[in-house]
Amino acid sequence: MENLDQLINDCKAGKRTAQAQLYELFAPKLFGVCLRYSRDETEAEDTLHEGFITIFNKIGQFSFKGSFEGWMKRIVVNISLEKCRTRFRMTTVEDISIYESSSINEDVYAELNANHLLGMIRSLSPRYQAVFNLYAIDGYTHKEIAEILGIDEGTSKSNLSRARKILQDKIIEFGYIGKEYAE
Amino acid sequence: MSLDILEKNMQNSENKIDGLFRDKLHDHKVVPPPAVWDNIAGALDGTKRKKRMVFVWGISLAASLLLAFLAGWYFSGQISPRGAMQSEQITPASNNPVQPATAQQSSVRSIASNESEKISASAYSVSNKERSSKIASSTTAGSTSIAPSRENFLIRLLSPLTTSVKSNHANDFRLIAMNDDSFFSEADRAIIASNVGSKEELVKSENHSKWSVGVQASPVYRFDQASSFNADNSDPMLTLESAGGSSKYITNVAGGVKVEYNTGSRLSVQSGVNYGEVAQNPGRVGVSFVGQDWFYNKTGTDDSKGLVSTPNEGNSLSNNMILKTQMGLANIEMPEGVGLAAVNVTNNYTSAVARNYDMEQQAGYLEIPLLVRYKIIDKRLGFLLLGGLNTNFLMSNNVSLVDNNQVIANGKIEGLNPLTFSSSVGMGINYAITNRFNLSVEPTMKIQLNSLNKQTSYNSKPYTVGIFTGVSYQF
Repeated sequence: MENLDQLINDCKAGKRTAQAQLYELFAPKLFGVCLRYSRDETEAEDTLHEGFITIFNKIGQFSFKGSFEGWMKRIVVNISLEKCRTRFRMTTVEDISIYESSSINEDVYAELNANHLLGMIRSLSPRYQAVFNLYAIDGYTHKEIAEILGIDEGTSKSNLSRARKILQDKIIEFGYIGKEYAE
Repeated sequence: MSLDILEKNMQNSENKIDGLFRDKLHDHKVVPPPAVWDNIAGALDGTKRKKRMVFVWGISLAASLLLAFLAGWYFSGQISPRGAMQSEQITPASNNPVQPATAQQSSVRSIASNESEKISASAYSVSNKERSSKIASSTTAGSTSIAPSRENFLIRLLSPLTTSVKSNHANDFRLIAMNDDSFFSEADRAIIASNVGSKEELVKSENHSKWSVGVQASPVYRFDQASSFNADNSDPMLTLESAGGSSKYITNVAGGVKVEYNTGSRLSVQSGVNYGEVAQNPGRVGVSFVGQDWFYNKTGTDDSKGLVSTPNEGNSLSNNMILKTQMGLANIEMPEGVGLAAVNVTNNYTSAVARNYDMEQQAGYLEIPLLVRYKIIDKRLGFLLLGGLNTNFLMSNNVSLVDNNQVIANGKIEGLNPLTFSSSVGMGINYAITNRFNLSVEPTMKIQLNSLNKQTSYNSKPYTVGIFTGVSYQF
C-alpha cells in the first residue's frame, strides 16, 4: 500500500494528476455506494461529485489511521444520507405485499444480479433504504444508525425488519415473474 | 416444498436477505460517466484559482483605482483639493480585511442555527437535540479561539457575508462530527466548520454566472473641474461667458449597454458602449441688423454694455458669427436675413431692436468604459465599488441658436478633440430580482482627464455625476 500512501500525499499537495488517479481508482466502488443510497443515477452522480470534492478538501486531515477507503466511504455515505434525509419527511408506509407469508426459492438467488437488487433497494421508502444499506450492507450497528439518523435503536431495528420483509417479498415476486418468463 | 425446508427458510431468511444483498452489492463497482470527473476537476480548479486570486484582489483593486486617479492628476497637471477625496474613495477597498472577520462569525452562527432548525424539524429526541447543539456551540467556540492562520484568514475572506449555508453541507459536517468523536479533535472540527463555508463558496462559484449584459441610463449633471477659459471682455471677439459664469449646463441623459465578466465571485470587469453628451447653454446672444449687415451682442437690447462685434468689419462680408465659449470657439453660420422678419430694420444699429437667441452647444460622445467592479456585499441586495477608465470618441458637435424652441442657425465648436479620456469612480447597489435579472443603481462620477478642446486656450475638463439605473441579465 506504499503506492496508495504516496498517492494520498500527492493529493494532499494538491497535485491534479494524483487526484485524477485517486478518482480513477476509487470512483467505481464509491459510485456503487452512491447508487445504493440514491433514488436514481443523477442523484448518485451528484453525491459522487460532492463526495470527491469533500474528499479532496479534507484529505489533509486524513492521518493514515485506519482504512483510507473506509474514510472515503464514510464521507460518501454521509452525503448520501443527507440527501435521503430530505426525503424522510415525505415517507409513506409501504404497501403490504400480497406475498406476505411465502418463502424464497433457492434458485431465485442465483438469478438475481446486482441491478435487480439495486432496483429493489431503491424501491424501499427512504428511511428503510437508509437503514437497510447501513446495517445489512455497510455493517453499521443499530446504535450507530440511531445516532446518524436521529432515531432510536428500536425504530432502527423495526425499520430493518420491515425493510427485510419488503425485500423478501420482492424477491419472491421476482421468483414468480422469473418463472413465468422462463416458461 | 416440504414443511421443514419451509421452516428452515423462515429461520434463515433474515440473514439470507442481508447476505444476498451484501454479497452482490457490497463491492459492486460501476464506472461513473466521464462528465462527473470533468465537473470535479472544474470545481477543484475553481477553488485553486480563488485562493490564489484572494491574494491579489484587494491589491489589484486598490492599484487600479489608484492608477486611474494618478492618471487623472497627471493629465490635469495639478493636484486639486479633490485629491484628498479621491484617496478616501480607495480606503474602503483596503479596509476590506476588517469586515470578513465578523462575516465569518455570522456565517458560523448561521451554520449553528441552521443545524438546530434542521434538528427540530426532523423530530429529534430531546437528548439528541441537546447533544447536537452542544457540538454546534463548541464548534463556534473552537473556530473563534483558533489562531487566525493565513489559510483561515483566506477562508474567512471567501466566506460570503451572511449567506445561509446549504443545509446538506451543515449536516454533512454534523454527521462527521457526531460519527467521529474520537477521530477529529476540537481543532479539526473548527477547520471542518470553516471548510463547510469554503465548500459552500465552491458550490456557489460553480453555479456562478460568468457573463452579464445589461442596459443602463442616467441623467448626467455636469460641473467644471478646471477651466482655464479666459473671459476677457476687452477681447474684440464676443465672449458669451463672463468670469462669473452665467452659462448653464444642460442636464441630459446618458446611457448604453454594458457587458460584465465575472473573474470570481466578487470581482468583475465591465465594458460596453455608452452614449452621452456634454451640453451647455452658454448664454443669450442678441442679433441686430443694420441694412443688410447684421450684428450681434451679448444682451441684445443694451448695446452700450454689450460688446458689439462686427465680424465683417474691414473684411469681406461674412455670414459667420464667431463667439468665445468655454468649450471653444463657436462658429455659427448665419443664414441670409436671419431674424429680419422679426425686427424693425433701421440704419442705426443702436436703435435696432435685436432679437435674443439662446445659444446651445452640444458634443456627443461614444464612450467605451473599462471598469473594475468589486462586490463588498455579495448578496441578493448587494453593494459594490467600481472604478476605471473610459475612452470617448467624439460623435457629434453642434452649436445652435434657438428661438422659442426653433433652431435659427447651426454651427460647430472649433477644435474639439476627437478622442478624449476620462476616469470613472462610483458605487452601486444592486438587487437580484431573480437568479438571472439584476436591478442596479450606480452613482458614478466621471472626471475628464484631457481637455475637450485641443486648442490650448480652451482647457475644458468637466466632470460629470450620473446616477445610472439599469437592468442586467446574467448567463
